[in-house]
Amino acid sequence: MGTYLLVRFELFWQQACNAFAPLNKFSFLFVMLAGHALLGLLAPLVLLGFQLFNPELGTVERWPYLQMLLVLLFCWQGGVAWQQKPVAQQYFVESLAPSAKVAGLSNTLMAVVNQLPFWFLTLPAWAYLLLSSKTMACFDAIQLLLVLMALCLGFKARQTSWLALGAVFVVPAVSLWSLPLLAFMLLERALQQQLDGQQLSAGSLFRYWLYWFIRQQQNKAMVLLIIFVLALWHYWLEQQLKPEAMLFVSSVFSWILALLCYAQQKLWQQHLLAQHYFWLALCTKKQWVLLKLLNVLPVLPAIVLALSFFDAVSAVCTIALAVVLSFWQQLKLLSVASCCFILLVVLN
Amino acid sequence: MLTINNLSFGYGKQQLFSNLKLQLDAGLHWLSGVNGSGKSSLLRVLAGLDKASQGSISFHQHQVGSSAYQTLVSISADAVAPLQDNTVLGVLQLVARCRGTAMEQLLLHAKAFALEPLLKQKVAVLSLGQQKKLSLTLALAANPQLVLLDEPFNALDPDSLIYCCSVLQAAKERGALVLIASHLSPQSFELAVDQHLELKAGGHLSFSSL
Repeated sequence: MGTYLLVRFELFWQQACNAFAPLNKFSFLFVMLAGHALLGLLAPLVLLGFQLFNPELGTVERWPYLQMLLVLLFCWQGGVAWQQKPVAQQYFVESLAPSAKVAGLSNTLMAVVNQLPFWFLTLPAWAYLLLSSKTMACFDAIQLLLVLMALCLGFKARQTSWLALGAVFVVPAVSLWSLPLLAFMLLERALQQQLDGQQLSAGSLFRYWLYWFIRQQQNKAMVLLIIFVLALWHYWLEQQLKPEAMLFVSSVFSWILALLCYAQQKLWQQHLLAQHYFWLALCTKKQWVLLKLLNVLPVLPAIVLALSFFDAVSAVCTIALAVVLSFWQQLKLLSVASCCFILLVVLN
Repeated sequence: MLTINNLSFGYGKQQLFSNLKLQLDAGLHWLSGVNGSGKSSLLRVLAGLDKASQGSISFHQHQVGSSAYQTLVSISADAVAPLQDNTVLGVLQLVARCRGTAMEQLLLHAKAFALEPLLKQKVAVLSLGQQKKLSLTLALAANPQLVLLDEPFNALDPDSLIYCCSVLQAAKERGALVLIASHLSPQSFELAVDQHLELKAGGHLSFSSL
């Protein structure tokens, strides 16, 4: 049993490493830059924690922070899907188990390990809210637990509900905020069951891309990350920072947004590659070119978001980066060039 | 002896078989049936990979899922695919560790199936036939008492086919129970099959003469 559990953990680790393998293509400088970006993210995260638990703040003032926490929750919830193996390979791993009980136990353990970041982020917040002497905080804690339980128990394969994600941003500052979330989650689940077995036909290539985009759990996580990055950017905007610091934060967020779009576009490319021969056999040459051009589609949200939220310089930088990343294959050379570019922006 | 009692299994509302009863002694058994009749599902249930909605399965008095049962059983099927992002050698080592099979034994079968030059290749780049050979190597090397094979001869080259048949014949001679699910006719192969079962739609089993 011990050997099998160890093997399962090794496989989990290997899969995690493989998922981040594209990062190996990035040069050292680029990793350094990513590190800076991460620091840029961590600082607001700490602040988010302080603000969320700040007893000085009123209930309404706490709402944006609670919304951010919920987005993070959904992010992790959606993100765990990358760890899932295809069914056939899962059968293979289970066939190596010494007994059905051990197979079941190891599956549960792996699910828990998969969700560690999720619990790490949520449980302290939940405990704090519950232990807080404020009535409203306790009420929030109970609702948070309710949403968590519905996410973990109600949705197979830890699916996140698109509708519930939308609701996070549209629910007004009402006391019973968990109710619309749960209602949307149940509605989406019912819709999923209704549509089960009735696959949407591709129709047009764009509709096919849209269908793929909505179904992919990673895309959900990616969209959420983009929203989260933008929320953080706004948070930074509200701080009275020096213009130099503002420029740095702005360039870091531009990079993150561009990279997220790049990662999302890579997912689509991988999907296309896996079905390369199928599409070649099915499409005319013109349609095949069109299908490949859909690679650029993930850049569109970046353009829209950058133009809507960023200042002119940041928006242009984001769009340029997202487009270049989408087309350029030699990431190593590109990352060096980009670092020089970013340094120039920061130094100026 | 493999004993299946009142076994029912299905996916959602679609019931593949219900109240299936069967007793099989050691030997070579051929399970045929049209596409979708439930052959592969039955093998997966017998391997303990899928759980039946009702009924019981035991082999040599050991219940399916118990550690004693799982030690005796091995399965080779397209739906049980070795990890694609590992090398062939890596998968062999993984199976050796988990199932306690001697590495020499695994390499012996791999060599006989002409997989030796591919040991450092990733499973994902192997051809259909090579993946089938790897799957058979993993299933047969441990000399299990209950061998479950789903379409084992598909995509095999003639040499590998002959070798596979000889290993299955040897397994029968050492007292193992081999259950082969295939839509092909058993007469097409050089195998001394003891029993031919046919799984019909709705999960009814019939025994055909050879």
